[in-house]
Amino acid sequence: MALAYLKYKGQEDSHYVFHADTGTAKFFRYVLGEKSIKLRVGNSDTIRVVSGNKKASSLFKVNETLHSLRSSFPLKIPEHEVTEGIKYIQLYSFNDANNKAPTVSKILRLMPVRTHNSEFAGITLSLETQEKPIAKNYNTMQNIQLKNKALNYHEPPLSKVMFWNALVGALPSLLQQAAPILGSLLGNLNKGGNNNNNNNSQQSNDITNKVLEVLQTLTKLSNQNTEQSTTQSFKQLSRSYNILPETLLGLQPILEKTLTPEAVEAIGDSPQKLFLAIKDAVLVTESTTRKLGKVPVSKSSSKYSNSKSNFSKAKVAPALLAALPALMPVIEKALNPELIEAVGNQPVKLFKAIGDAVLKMDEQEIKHLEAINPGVDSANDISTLLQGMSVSHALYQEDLIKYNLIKDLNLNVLGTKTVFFKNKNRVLYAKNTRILLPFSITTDHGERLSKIIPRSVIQILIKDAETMKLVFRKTIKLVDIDLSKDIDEAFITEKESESIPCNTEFKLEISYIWKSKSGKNIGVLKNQYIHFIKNVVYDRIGERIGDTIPFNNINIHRKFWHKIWDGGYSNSLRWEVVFDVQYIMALNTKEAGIAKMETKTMQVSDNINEVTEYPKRRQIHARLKSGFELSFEAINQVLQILNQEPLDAELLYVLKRSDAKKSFSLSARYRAEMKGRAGDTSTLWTYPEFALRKLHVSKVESIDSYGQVISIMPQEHVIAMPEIIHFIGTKSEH
Amino acid sequence: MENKLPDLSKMASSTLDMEPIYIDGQKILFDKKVMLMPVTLEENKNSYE
Repeated sequence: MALAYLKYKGQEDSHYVFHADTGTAKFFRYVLGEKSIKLRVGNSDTIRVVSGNKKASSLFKVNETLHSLRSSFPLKIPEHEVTEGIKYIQLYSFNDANNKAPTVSKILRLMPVRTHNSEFAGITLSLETQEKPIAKNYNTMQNIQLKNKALNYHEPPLSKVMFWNALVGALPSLLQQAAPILGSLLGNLNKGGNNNNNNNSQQSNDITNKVLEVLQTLTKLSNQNTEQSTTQSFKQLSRSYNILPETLLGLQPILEKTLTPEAVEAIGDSPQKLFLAIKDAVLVTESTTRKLGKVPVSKSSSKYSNSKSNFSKAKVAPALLAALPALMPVIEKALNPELIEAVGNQPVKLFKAIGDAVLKMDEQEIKHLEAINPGVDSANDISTLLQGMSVSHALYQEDLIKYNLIKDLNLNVLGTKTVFFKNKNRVLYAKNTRILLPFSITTDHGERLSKIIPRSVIQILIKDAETMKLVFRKTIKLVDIDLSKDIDEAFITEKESESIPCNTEFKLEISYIWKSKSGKNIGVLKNQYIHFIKNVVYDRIGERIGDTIPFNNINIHRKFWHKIWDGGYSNSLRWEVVFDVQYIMALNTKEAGIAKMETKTMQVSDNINEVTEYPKRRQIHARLKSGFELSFEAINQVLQILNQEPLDAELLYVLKRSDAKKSFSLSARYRAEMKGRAGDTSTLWTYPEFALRKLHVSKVESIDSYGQVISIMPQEHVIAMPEIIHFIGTKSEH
Repeated sequence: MENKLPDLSKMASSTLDMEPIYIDGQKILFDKKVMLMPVTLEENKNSYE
């Protein structure tokens, strides 16, 4: 009997090899093509044939001697014949050379595969006979531990990252317009290196004027753009500019008193960080500031002579410039227009309004705020508000020393050096050494005080820069401190810094406190943004390398395939389901494998509730939430599957203790619609596509005698990250 | 048997119907690719409560 049978065997010597069988037929040809179409045969039957840019081979005759023993034979097709676009192959067999009694095989589909780092990589037939790579990848995949677990993640009501990213995303267009003015401002600052007191004062005024000028220009430009542009964002920004830029400058005095120049630089264009710094500073200072009595001043100079001039360079201008356009959308998003109107040009009201908005991101804080919010907008009420916030503050800082800030004095952190790290100049301290934090006390004009303090205290607080949670505190009692000299007594020992996490941004707050004549605590403080690092430190996950790589092999990548729903309905003639699906990807640093998380379902509607019997057409709408958990060990195995070098143990250790985990907090949403008849079943699957990305880490090169890291060496590695999720809906066939 | 699923995300459902591809004995209806976006995730027990 004539036959046409074709099965893929593998690749050999630049040929694709198939197992062919023509039965009793002695002639055959194979056909390659782009499409598979149905042809009608007779009245009701159809057959599938290859079509579209079809390439038919010559007519071949089987080896009759061998064929008489066995009708199957190997069919070799040169690789170059399977060009891009060719998707199908089919075998035709004939009884004679005149194409008599043709028989066609089933069509085999050829799967083109793209590799991660190249253009089109040629044709690879993704069948199971590619033994070598499959065996290797299969074994690697088998080593990944797989768990099923409860879905124990959720997004906070307003996702901070997406929210702030959206806000900061609005910055470049506005800052670009301000760049020339900002450039001239900073240029002027740089020229004034060794400035005397008068120059300082004059420069400070100049800065304030310049800042005002820039802010007003920004306002005008934005308004002009609003008129010209129809985009929603600019319209919204325009409406928000009902608040005068000068109002924001009302915050400037607090910032100058409480932040080092390096801290201002670390804040950069992050409105969230700026706000938190303002809030934290105000908690300490706002309602309790006082002026110092007359104290003789000294002209003695510091060995750290650059500190004052460095401060004048940074000031708060750049941060405020950046914060202005970013704070406006905060106001626009979080407050209603009437309230914005009501704020007017009062910094206190503005502070409270922004404070309310940002606090909404933290459920605990907003509840607390609601409880203590006096609900009126007078200047005095801000004091009540802040005192209430201080109660919250004190919940975890009840034993901290409280003091009244002296407005006339400055605490200057000395000898600070920065290193370019995570795209900014930052202050880094080494963990495996003693850290010294020298400072001086000067008047607003940079003059030293000729005064000896018999008893005083240095209070060192280290707080998480994002949450302001206290992670370290230390007090150092001092006797007979001469304020005309540098104070070198503040330090953190190697043992003390052991418990502080590496590679996380912290706010270091140094306070110098003593008793006034009336017996009250008075003092000065300064904040610094710092990182603690060890030998190797995580920097960032950078740019993508090549295309995404689908984990679409049901055998090899089986552990990454996730059936998140299956079901069907038999009591109605037809059924329809609509699922609003959220699929999350998370990374667990405490476990070593991967986990498929359960699917949580929340029904939105079901028309069975509306009638007493099963409806003819059952309609269900529900929300599904499911997800997948990775680990750095699993990422390492994914790297091996993708023929990349795995990360070594030291790097894994560093990554696990870094904030790299945040880059793996991902989510995808999709609305899936499926329908069927009574008895049909459907499933919803997911599988990921991974991308290779550059992993930037830094290696400590040198540390100075104060424990500051003064140079680091950047290093690059490769890491795999999930980038795309496929949602696949399937249905049973009758 | 083929074990690598091609990217069907750009294929119309009618095409998938004409050239059915099966997973686990079921016909694929759609394949939708969605980009994963960065979010803030917090661990807790009840996500919908």
